[in-house]
Amino acid sequence: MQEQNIPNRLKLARVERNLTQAELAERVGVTRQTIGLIEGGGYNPTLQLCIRLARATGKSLDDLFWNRGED
Amino acid sequence: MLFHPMRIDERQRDTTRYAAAIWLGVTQLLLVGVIFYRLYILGQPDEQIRDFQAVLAISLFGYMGLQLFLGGIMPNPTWKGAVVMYVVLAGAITIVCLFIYGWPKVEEWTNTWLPALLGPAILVVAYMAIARLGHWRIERQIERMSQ
Repeated sequence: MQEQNIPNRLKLARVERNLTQAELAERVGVTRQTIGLIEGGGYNPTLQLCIRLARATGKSLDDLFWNRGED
Repeated sequence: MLFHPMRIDERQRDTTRYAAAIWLGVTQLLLVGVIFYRLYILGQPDEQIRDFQAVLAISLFGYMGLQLFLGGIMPNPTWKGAVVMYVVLAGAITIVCLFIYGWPKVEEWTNTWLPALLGPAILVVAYMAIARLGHWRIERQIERMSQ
């Protein structure tokens, strides 16, 4: 089964905080490549990482990962 | 410093598991290739490839067994189901072998009837044990977490 990647607003949240991909990666303990892939929809992060990303960007999980158009 | 330190994150761990699974499959296929090459191209007797066969069997069954055990979701057959599985497996192996090699001599039973009848029994019992242990392990894990 093809894994479906979830569109997200991580890039927007990161830019709002004036963070580079490398800086955000450092804060949440992953590689810059992983952040790039998450932003591009090429990798689905675990819930643990989602929570760390939400904390680092000051957003909620809904803000980052919930697509309200699908409600 | 010649290199930046490498950071292993969850994506890298995923990639490692994915690469390991793919390369395990490739290695097993290569082993099958080596066995066929030695048997049918070089014409070596069975006894000279026993080590390769053992490694391949341990690798295949170990991998499948570990997956069943860690997954913990394999269907758990009843004793009746297990008997049906055994009869189907042993029957299929016996029929195919009879077609290929013909009716075996009585004195060769340790090399013919024994593996054809005992092999499937070991497989079915091992499958049942692993499936049950896998279920037990997962249920215990869930129980522990909900306490």
